Amino acid sequence: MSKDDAMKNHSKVPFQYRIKVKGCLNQEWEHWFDGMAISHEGAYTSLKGKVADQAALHGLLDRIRDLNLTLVYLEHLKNTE
Amino acid sequence: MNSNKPQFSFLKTKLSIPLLRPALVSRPRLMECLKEGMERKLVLVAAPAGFGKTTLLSDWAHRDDRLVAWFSIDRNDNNPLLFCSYVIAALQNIDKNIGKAALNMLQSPQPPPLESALITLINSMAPRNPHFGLVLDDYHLVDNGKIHDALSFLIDHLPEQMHIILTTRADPSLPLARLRARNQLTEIRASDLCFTADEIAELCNERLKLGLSSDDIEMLSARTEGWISGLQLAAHSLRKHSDKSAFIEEFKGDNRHIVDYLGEEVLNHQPEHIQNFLLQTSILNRLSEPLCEAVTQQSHCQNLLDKLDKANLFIFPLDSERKWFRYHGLFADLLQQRLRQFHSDMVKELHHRAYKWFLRNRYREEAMDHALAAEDYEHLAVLIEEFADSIWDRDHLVDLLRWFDALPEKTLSSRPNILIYHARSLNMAGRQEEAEAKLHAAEQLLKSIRAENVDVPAVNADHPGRLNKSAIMGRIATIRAFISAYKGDLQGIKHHARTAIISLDERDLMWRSVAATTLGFAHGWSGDGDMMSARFAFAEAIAVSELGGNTFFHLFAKSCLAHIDAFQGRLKQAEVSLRELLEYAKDNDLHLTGMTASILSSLGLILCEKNEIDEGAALVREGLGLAEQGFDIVTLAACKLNMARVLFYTDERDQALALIKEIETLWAEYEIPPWIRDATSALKAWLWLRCGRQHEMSKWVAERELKFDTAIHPRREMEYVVFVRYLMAQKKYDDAEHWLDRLIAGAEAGMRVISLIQMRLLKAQIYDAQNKLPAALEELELALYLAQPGRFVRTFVSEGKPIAELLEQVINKDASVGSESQRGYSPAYVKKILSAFKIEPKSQTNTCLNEPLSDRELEVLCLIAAGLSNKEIAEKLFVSLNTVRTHTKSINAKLDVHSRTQAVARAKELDLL
Repeated sequence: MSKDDAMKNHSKVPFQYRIKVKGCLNQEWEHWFDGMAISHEGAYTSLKGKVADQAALHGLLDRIRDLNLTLVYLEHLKNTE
Repeated sequence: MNSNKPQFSFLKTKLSIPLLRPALVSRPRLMECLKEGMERKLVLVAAPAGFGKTTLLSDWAHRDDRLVAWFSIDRNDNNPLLFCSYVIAALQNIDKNIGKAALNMLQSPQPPPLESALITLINSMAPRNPHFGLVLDDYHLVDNGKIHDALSFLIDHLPEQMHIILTTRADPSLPLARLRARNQLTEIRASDLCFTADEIAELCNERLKLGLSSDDIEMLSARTEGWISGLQLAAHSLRKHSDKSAFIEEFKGDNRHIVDYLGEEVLNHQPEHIQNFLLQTSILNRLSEPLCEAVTQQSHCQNLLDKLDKANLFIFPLDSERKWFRYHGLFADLLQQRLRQFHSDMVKELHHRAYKWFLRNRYREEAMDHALAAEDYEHLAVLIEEFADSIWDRDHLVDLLRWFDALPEKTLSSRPNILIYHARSLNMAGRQEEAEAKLHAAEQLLKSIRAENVDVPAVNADHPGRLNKSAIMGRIATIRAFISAYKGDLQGIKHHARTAIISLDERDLMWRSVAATTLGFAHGWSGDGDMMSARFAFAEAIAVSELGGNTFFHLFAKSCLAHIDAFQGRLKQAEVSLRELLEYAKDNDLHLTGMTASILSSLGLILCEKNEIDEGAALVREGLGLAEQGFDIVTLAACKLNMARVLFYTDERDQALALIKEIETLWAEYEIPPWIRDATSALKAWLWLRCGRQHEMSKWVAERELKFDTAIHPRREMEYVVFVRYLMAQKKYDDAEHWLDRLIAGAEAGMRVISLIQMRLLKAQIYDAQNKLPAALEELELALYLAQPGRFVRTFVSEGKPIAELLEQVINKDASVGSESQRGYSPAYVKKILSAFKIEPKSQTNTCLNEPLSDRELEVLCLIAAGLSNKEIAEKLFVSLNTVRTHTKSINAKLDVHSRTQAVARAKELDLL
């Protein structure tokens, strides 16, 4: 990460991400995923929301791994704010 | 609470093979893989949670637990030293003699680079052992790159009889591709671990007697994809359902995540009090009866734990007495999720109760974990502060960074002492600007606080526990001295350390000893060579470190003081205290440190000076051997330098020069303090001068910028002394004398007796060469006067024949003139020195000349090499043919050859041409 990026992260501009996993996950897991919004598309679950920085994103991915969820895709959304 | 020795108290439960119920389904296929793995270096068991990695390995390990070392990793093991210590402790379960020395090294206050501890570890595993495996369970919890590096190093140098088995949820940062290519890696991955339809049938029908049809099995297999945790949950639910096929049908039709679907099933089948117990205790990483009672505020928890254990409800014991348990990771996740969903108001309170229990039972880090989770930052800050205080003089403070980072700004900025520790932690992490910012904030905070005193942890009964603002400023100044040290700012170190010593509370002993030692070091070694100031500072450091029980700084300051004694000519005192320090180091488990290496080395050098060469050389060698185990580069360089000095004494010049080359290689790679560079440079030049390498000498003089038009830095004094020798060799006696007088004035002011003796001896030789015998004897007597209390011998012997002859004259003269008290030295002492001259140097294999060629001789030699005849040379140099003949004779004698051609060949060998 360049110094500029690091500065950006420090200034707390969050990134929007959408993460899609296989299987349907109960809405109640939102807490577990730092308040990412849970929605369902058929047999898939998508988690969408702000992630503070790269470390937080990796934390989320670890949690997905720890629940043995199959990661289908990960998307970096343009910030709308 | 404050302990002298660094302590890693190993959690035994992390080092025993987990006592899982034996797997219900035997898996010969995977056991075969593991057996094969014992012929390769590394076995990687990589799969997400719930694939039965740990179960597989514990099953395998229990087949012959004498041959398996086990280490269950958790998040708090990310300190490389701690990690390696655990690895060694685990290996000691196989053979208690493995890695004893390595463990001592890691636990010493001056830990060596990890690699050298690992080498020591590897060397301690002689082929006597049968093949064995080291299991590192949950390696994905390691996120410290240094641990990956250490493990890679270990794998690269793995003894044949040892094999490493990793379980991990993510592929580790190790050179897997290389190991794969070399066929040194066995991999067991999720696709290998998941249950086949046959295994599911065995589990459900043969073991659990669920009586499922082959269609049911097929469906379960498809729905769970063989994921073992999923199957376990399913089996749990199936036992409660009479119509199993209907349940499986429904399960298949539901696309909810298995944990969601089945976890709820399992949980809902439990009675309410068990559900509550499960939810409330889910916040704990490990469970025991008293802890559960504290957290749930219920009694009879042991009953519940036993029940859960018997029902196989995703809980397993951590020890054979079944006192500690933990939940299956996924199940704990599920429970925690439910807890937050239904009782979110309780979460903080539960963590708070856990924090209190762990604190009461002195599990500091777990208490800190729960205080953080309870968002109880005030208590967390107190804990961090106490923790920091107990380890702050060691190199571990940097590990607290993550805790400092966890504290909110508000808590941080209301506690000056926390800010100061945070600054030290940043300082050690190499983040000097941030460190200074914290100190600045602490200063501002102190100004704004109305109260006169600030609470700090009381490390012992005598410690006040609260300090006034000025004493806190002293702590700030101490850290500033460290920051200056990192920047190489000597004036800064001195300024801040002095401020610290003035301001620190009398009873704040740990801080005082650190500040005083830092000051002494700045004075004595890296700095201005002001031995008196250094002495005072070290004396202060010794006194306070003794009171404060700070063994490491005590040893450090005392050995510094012994060095000063030696420098000031008090060899006897220095010898006595260094010998005492060796005992002290042994008594305090500091004998395997770099500090001990340098004490051995210094002691050896003192014995050599007293002409006890054999014992001295042995000690210097022992010190070097210890230093080579790699504590730190500075110690290693200093011990090499001392060894080179001994070789100089024993006239093994080639080996001395080779060692000096090694030191130079070190400083090309690492940061070596200037005092070692300058001393090495001086010794090298003296050796060159002895070998008659005029060419190198003149280059050296130019390179080292040895000019007398500037003030001479005491650190470089010895280089100038060699320069004076160089002038003397060129017979420039006036110049030599002039500069010597300046050097003598400087050394007298700084009371550096060891230098003064040498300078007086040089001056005696200058007078002697100019046939001023009385003046020469006077100088020699001054030298004797300075040298007798310390019984110096080698410094005299190193000067060679001219001094021996002068000493004979002193003896003869003394018989007639004056008493011993008038002269300041005894004839017996002089005779002792003289007898040392008579001992022949050990080795004559040197490629160096015993007597250097003069400039003129060198000139003649060059012309001979150019093929000129004696007559041509005489014409060229405007001298007579006879003179040239005299020169060539002398050249032949010095080179120990008999002809012109031999002379040229020999000169080329010696690099003279």
